[in-house]
Amino acid sequence: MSIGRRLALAFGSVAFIIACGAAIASWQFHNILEETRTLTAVDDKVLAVYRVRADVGAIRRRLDDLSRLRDASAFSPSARRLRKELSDDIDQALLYFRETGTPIPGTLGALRDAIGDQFDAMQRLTEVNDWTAVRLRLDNQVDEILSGVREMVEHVNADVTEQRDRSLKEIEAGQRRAQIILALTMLTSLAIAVALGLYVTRSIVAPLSQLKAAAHQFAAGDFNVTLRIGAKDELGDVSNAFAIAARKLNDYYSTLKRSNEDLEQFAYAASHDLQEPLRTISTFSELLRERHQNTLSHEGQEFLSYLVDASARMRQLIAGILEYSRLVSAEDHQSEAIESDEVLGVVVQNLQATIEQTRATITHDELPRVLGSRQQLIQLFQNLVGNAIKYRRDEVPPHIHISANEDDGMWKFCCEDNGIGIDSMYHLHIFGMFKQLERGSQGGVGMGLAISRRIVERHGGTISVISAVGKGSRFYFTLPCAEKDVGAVCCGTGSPASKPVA
Amino acid sequence: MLMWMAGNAHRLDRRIVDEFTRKTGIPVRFVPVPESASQQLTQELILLEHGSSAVDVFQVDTTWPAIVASYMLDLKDVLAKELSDEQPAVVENATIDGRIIAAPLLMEYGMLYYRSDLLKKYGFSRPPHTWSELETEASRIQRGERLRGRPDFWGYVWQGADYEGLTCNALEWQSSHGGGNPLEQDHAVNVNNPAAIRAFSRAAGWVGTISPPGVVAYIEEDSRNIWQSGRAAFLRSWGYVYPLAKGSAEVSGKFSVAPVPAGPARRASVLGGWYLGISKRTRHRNEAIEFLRYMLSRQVQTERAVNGGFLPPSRSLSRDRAVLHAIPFFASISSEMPDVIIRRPASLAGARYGRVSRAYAHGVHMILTGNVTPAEGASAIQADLVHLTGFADRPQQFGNSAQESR
Repeated sequence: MSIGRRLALAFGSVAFIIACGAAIASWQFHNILEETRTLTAVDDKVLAVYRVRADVGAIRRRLDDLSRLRDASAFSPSARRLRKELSDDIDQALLYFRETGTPIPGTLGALRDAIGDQFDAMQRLTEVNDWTAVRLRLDNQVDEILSGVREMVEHVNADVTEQRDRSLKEIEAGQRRAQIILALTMLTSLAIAVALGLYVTRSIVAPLSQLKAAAHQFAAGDFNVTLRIGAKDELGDVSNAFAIAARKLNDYYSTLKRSNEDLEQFAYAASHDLQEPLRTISTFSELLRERHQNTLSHEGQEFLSYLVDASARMRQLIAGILEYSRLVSAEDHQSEAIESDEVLGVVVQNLQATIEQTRATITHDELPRVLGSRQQLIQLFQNLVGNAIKYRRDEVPPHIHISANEDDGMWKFCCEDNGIGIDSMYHLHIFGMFKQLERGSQGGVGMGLAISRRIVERHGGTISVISAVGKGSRFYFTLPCAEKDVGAVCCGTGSPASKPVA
Repeated sequence: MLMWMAGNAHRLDRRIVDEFTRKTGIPVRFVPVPESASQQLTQELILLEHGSSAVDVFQVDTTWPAIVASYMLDLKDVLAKELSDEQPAVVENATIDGRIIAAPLLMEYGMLYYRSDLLKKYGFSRPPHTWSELETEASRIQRGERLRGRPDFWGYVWQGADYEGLTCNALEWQSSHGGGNPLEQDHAVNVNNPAAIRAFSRAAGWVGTISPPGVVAYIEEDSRNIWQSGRAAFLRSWGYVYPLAKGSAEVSGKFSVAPVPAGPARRASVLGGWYLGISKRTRHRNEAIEFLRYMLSRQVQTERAVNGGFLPPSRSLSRDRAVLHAIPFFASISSEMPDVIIRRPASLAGARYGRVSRAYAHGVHMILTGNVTPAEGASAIQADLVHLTGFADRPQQFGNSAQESR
């Protein structure tokens, strides 16, 4: 299932449970409300029958008083009024009991008729002034009715008490139920939310952290990544693509590394093996010149000199290649803190003769302590200073200045000269092997800058040139600081990303 | 569920009905009705005329069979066995056009309650057989009691208010004096005759002499109130008074029951009581029949008689020892009944009975209150009834009891 659907399902489930809970709870509240209404109706009923009972009681007392007065003219209006009051209250009570299945409405109706009969009878008796008969009626028949009414009220009371108890119980139960339902809903939705959340989070986070680990591994240059993500979701797709990319890159990298190693092996072997026949050629051409120079014609002597020059040049070339390939394959590259001005001093000393011959001046700022191989750094500085002297302008004594600035955790060196300069079209080529601006004119085999680049890169730095024809050149290269933690600065040297591939 | 439109559901009836439900599994519910018979009739007619099937079993008053006959099932065949044991006059009263539309539940008839202690006290060995004896005994006891510090003591109380009860009283007077029945079987109106006038005039003479002046406003309960509270020697009323009086502190053990006194012509006691009928609309015909059979059963009738004092219409129960023990006077009354029972002219008047009875009672009431002379009153009633019924205006000129209907 996709993440989107999973999330939708999770939120949907929680929403559904909350909705269910809310529905049940509101149904319970509705019940409670209904019961409350019933309670009110119940009270109305009780009041109604109590009023009826009070009426009958009043009729009994009032008529009793009136019958003692023995005044028919006072009796009838009072009797009429009492009768009407009772009738009204019975009507009212009947309204409350109309739709109940109790025998109360019948009883009330019968009561109205019975009381009516009594009123009629007493009215007749008062008309003939038989107050004894009236009083006897009150004592016997009306009392009997009164006791009947009392019975009814008791009946209603019992009925209503039962109903009220039932309603109260129902309300209590409803409240309890609502509480339980609400708590259950909350707990269930919480539990489901937590469970779904955990599940969803884990199902997303677990592949993500795998992917992250793989990306770090990848970034560290280890293309041999394995991802175990079974999920068939968006993350699964990403992981698969990532794994495929990693595998392909790993393949390319392995192929590249192998071919590079082959090439370096080849270069070393070739240059090493080429030296043997070359030594033979140069030995015998030297012998030929020393022993048989005089027997050779002028033309022969000229040819021989070409041969000697070519073999010498060949020797230089092979030495260059060998040196270069040694740099490539040198596994014993050992870093140490080196004072770069000492290195420069050694170089100046090495080049003393040329410097004097060309009246070159070499100056430098305060130079830092760097981390690297002394031998290689000497070679690097010597190549750059040598080149600066070599490509001097005619009639202008070369001036070379070396400076260094800190740049992004490295030392950035600058070797500036006042030489002939380099056309910008060659800036990209000059760091390649066997590249010389003017072949043969200045001697050398065109390996100097290639080797220089190689050295800088092996130290984790970069090399570049800013120059224009007739305006001198400025070679920039960076080297690691010695002051910083050795591991941190040199970590790049072992990484595939900075490893020279050509 | 059977719905029984019963009068005042007596506690006894509830127990009896519960027993029925227990036995048969048929629940019965009482439909409450108004206390007064006339309002009850109105309510029953509303239900019946609207064809409602809400009520299955109806209580039917002695005077209603003609009115409700068309709405009731014929019980002649389904209850043949039970009906064969009933008093013929009672069954006949519910027989309309050959259909027995209701079965008698309890029997009522006019009877005389008397204070046996006072009779003894004033030297009378037996209750009055005739109206004249009643007048004599009543006035002597009244005088005697008043001399003994009971200024409000009266000799005789009865139902003199202008209502159905007065019709019953007056019918007994008229009939016992040989005045016949207001509506005769040959569809003649017979009130304005000398015997009837003599009877009315005698009764009017009681008012204020042996009966309280207020008696003209008395209905059953008023007369019972007076008599049962020890304020009168004689009471004309129905059987329902008996258990009540037996339970009253003032008269318990001091009274007995006799037939209504005879007039010059005969002894006459008006038939009352209640019947049970089944609505034609019932949806529970078989259950209703079973219920009636149960209510008419010897067991239920005995229980009602012994525990409730209700007089059973059954002839065989009039010899039942348990019943006679509870209602000792039942035997003598039952044996005389065929001769003394008179019926209200309900079946003759049919649906107009209510108006007929009101006119008759009203006329008699006018005589009792002295608004008209007995002769004027009788003449007025005669005219009213002729007008109401369309029957022949044929009052008997001379007292002759042979034509009396039963």
